[in-house]
Amino acid sequence: MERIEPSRRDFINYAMWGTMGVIAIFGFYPVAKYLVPPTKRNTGKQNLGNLNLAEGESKKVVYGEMPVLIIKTPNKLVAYNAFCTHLNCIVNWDKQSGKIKCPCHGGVYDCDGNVVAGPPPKPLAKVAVLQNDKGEVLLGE
Amino acid sequence: MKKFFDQRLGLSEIKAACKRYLKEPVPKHINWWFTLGFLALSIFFIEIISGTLLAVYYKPTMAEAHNSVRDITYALRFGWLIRSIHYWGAQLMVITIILHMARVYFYAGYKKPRELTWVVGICLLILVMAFAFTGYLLPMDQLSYTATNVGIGISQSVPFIGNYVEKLLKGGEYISDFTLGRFYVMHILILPAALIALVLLHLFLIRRHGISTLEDVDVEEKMGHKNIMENDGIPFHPNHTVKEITAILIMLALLVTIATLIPKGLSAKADLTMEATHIKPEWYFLWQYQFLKYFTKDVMPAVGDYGKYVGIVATGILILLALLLPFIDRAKGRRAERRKFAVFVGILAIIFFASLTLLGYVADREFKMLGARYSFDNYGVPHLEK
Repeated sequence: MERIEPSRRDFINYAMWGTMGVIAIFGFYPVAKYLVPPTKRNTGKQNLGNLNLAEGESKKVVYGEMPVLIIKTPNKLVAYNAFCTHLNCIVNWDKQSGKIKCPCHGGVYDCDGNVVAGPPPKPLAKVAVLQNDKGEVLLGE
Repeated sequence: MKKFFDQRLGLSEIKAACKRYLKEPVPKHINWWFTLGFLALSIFFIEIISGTLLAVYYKPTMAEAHNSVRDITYALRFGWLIRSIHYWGAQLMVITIILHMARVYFYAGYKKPRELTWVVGICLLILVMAFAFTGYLLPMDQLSYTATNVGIGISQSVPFIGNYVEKLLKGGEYISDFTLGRFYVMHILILPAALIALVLLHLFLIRRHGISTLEDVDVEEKMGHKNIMENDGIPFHPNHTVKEITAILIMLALLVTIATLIPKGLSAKADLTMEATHIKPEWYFLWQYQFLKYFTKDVMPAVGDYGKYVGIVATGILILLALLLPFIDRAKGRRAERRKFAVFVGILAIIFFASLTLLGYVADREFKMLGARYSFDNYGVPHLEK
């Protein structure tokens, strides 16, 4: 008798592989979603108290899980996400040169967070900071 | 009793097969350099045992990780030894695999029909690096925190998929409990499973194609590997097994000696507000650390603001070249005198990686040489101190 393509056996094979494929796709979705944890809510405003920073001095604090570099420049108080925009090393304030320097790959930023030298592709991310009438430093929005 | 198990498990068949394998002939030229693959596998077993022992006490949370490693190192009896063996074993494993890879390259063991054996070998090297990377974060000290951040930063710079990879690795915007949990699971479950699977594939391919002869590819193909071995081979046992056992014993002695004399310490707990000093990765990542430094506007004006991405892509190309080597080098010769250009390229590659590693080591440091004091800048260029 002439064999008709696809045969019953072929059909069962296709159905088996197809079912496994569908199970894999449907299984992948919850696994992928499970692996992405929920986004944490904004840490909100953090009162750091009176830091007593003299001009040209800096302090590092942790805001949520982010290290923040606060610098007292001649005109104002500035704060940056301390992760270098090159490869996430934590930057330092160099009082002598008045520059922010990365200890890993030699990135240098000015006190406005702009790249002056080295490999960082963009300026440091600014973090909202203000000083109230009592001299307390408030970080974040 | 013996009969009972033999009937059910086929023990006598397994024994006969092992005897047959041991007697199988191997090429006459195999020497001590050919013990490196088995040596790497043996160290992997040591890593599994020492890692399992460490996992008994380790706690993978940001709050407790450092304390638990401190307890393992300083409070538990022989904890320092087990941790040091795990640490130094990893170092030895990387050295052994790199040397094994160099041996295969210079003996042209990657040529037809062993292309896939080489590709799987490179994948194994990448997995071992992933092991080192994921294991590095676990003590949660200052160095491990920063090195992991940089490592994730590198993966984040990979075009198109970088951001997803970063999210998957970190499990959020910053390194947190989520990151530590992921790295721990990767280090103790996913990577070992992947490594065992690839090692089995690697061994299967080695068994299938045998150890490469020194004959040209077409000659080996025409005569048949089996025929060459039957006419000109030597039995695997005891000729090579003696060398392998000796190598393992020397390695064990070396490992225990280093672990005892230079026990792995523990630096301070990660503190994001601490003044970060010149932080450098482990020696096997130093070449890449230094390589990335040169992709800046100052050194290569052509890269503009995209230096970071160009550097990562360039690293990727180097890895791809290593992976595709058997498909790039299609020349038939295996003996060094028949492949002078390939030998030259191999030596050049060693000089390239060794120089970058050395530059990475000396960069941002001061050294006294020939009575003068030199300070090396970020690019590894020496400046005479006055």
